[in-house]
Amino acid sequence: MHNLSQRANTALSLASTVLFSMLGLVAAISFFTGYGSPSSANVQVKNIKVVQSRYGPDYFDYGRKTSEFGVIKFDLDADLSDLFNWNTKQLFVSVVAEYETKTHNKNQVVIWDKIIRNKESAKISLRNVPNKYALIDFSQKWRKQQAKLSLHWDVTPWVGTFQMGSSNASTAVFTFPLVENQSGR
Amino acid sequence: MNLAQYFEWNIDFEGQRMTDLCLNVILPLSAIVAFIYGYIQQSLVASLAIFGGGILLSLLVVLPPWPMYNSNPVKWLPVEKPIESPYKGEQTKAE
Repeated sequence: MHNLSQRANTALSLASTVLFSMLGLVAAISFFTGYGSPSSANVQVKNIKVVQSRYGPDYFDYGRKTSEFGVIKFDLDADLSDLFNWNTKQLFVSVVAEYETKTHNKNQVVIWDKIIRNKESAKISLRNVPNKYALIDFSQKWRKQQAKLSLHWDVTPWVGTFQMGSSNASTAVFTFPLVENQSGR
Repeated sequence: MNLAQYFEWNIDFEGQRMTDLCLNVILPLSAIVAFIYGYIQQSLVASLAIFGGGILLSLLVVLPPWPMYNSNPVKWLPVEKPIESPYKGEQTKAE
């Protein structure tokens, strides 16, 4: 420590160690206490119909030219501001359709998502939201399938591990109707 | 004396001990204050800002050669004329 560069080296290396210990403590606290749950998270199905169409922008159809797509509109009311603490960087919120078929007992399709970056925009109240992503089954047919919508959230921290949660899906149960037109989009 | 020679900023041993003590007190203490303030205000940015201020304060205290770090210079012994080595005779004997 007898000259400037040695003192600068010691000072900055000690500062890095102390900084990373402090951030490690923040991450550890978030790991054990979690982020809690939102005060309200509600999805309601407004409208559901099934249309036939070709699949994919360059028609990669898995050999079949008529795939059944669910076209759904839902209402979303959620107050996710309780999930924002000092270690929350952003929330990734998605609406997921879950259902069970004879061949596969757990299916989940993400039909809508959004990134929320601050506490002020964490109160969402949306009406008649169309699905962003294709609601299509692996078998390409819906066959009066029963499904339910739920809200999922993933918390991205500043330091630490990701954590996720989801809402109760019992309020948004719906059944796919039969195909409404043969001509498709 | 050129720029590199000027920025040696040497300090004596007692000063080095003092700077070591200052670093080991200022940095952990500012981290503790930063953590507590940030936790209460629920703002990680506030924590990092306070700790950044603590780093700057520690650099200001430790890097420049303040007079207190040079107030115990090493006491070198006075220069004496060389004395006859008692082993000289033995060396010639071994040859």
